[in-house]
Amino acid sequence: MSTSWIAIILSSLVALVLTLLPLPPEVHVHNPQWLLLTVIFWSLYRPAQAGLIYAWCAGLLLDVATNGLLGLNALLFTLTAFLVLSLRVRLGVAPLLSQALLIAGFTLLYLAVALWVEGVAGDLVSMATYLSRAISNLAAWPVVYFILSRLGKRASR
Amino acid sequence: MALFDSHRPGFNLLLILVVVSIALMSLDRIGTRWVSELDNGLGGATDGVIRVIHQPIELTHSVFQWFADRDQLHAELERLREENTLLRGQMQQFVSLRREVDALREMLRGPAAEIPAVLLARRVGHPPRAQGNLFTIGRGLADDIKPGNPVIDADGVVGQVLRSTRAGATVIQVTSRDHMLSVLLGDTGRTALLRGTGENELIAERVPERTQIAPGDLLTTSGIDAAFPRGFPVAQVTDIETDEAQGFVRILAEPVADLARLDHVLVITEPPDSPVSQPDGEKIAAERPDVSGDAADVD
Repeated sequence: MSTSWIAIILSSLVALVLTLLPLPPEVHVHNPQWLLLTVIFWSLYRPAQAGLIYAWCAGLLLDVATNGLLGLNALLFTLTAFLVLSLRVRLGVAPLLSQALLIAGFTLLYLAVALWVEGVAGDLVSMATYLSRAISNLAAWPVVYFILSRLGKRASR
Repeated sequence: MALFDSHRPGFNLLLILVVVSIALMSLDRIGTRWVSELDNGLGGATDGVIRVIHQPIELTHSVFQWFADRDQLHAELERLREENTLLRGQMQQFVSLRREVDALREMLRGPAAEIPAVLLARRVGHPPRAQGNLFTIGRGLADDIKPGNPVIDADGVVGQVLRSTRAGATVIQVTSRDHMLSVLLGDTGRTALLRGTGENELIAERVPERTQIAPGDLLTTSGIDAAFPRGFPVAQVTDIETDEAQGFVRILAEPVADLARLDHVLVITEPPDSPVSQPDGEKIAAERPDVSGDAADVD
């Protein structure tokens, strides 16, 4: 078990190095997302060790390394890992070609969400206020549930 | 067998991670202190990785230098010697001029001209980015480099420090789409905001049509943004376009700094023109209504 931990961390580091390789911009555009592919592989074949938290940490590391919006890649990596983990039983035994095709499909989704977030990024400050509403909803839900279930019981009686 | 265990991930964990990510993005956008500390802390590691990756390139560079032609080296030395003499000669004039300016300012009860402290730094790499307008330098927090410090080269303004870690600092160039600075338009005394486009071109939008500016004029830092000291050359006007809105023009300019071949840069480590300087303060006050007037016109 411990060896696979070492393998996971080492391979992630190598993937990060491959991502950070200084390349001319024309080539760089076509550089595969090594770290994302590594995360997908480990969530496919070592789901017990490499779960969502691992994907989130890898994404955050990529954000920091590329000076991007902090948390963007973390979010996208987590979502991708979630997708992979939920399709794992089917994807794990699929032939290599169809795996590659599916991963290309994931990447398209990934890019779509990335574009969307970058579009929204200007409004992220107001997003923070909405988030506080999400948290107050979280706190209010038990109260609402309690009152309304009481009401529902009384009405059905 | 491990393959057939369904390791279905928990929805709760996913939701928590998503909320944490969105919160992180928002806080990063706002510029919260502990988020930037997290960025700096982790950035130390990744900047180190970038530096290590760049070592082979440095090595080949130095090996090539070792084999460089002897005559070429002599020519280079000769050129540098000439340049040094020339610069030192000009410097003598500069010193006497500065003394004169200080004397004049004293008569006007203004403070003496402050020459900011600069720090020589070497480019050690560049983090990957689609636009590629970032690079890493070999000096960081240890040398008192802070985010926001201006970066110049021998010809003009290069950019600003974006992030400073123990292993080095990341610099964003003026040509980046995420960068903007306030400039003086030639000798007109007018200011405009100059923004990067992602290519080797800078744009100042919504400049009043009556501004007397022509291609070839120099745009210098205005000092109003309190990020750059006043008077550093930024860009040269290449073209003037008529804006869609009536009464305004759009100025296209190209940076005077040699951004394609940056090897050594200077980081200005002291805070630029502090607002205590009286004459500058008056000037800012005099220019402000102008700026806000333009803004009102835009609306």
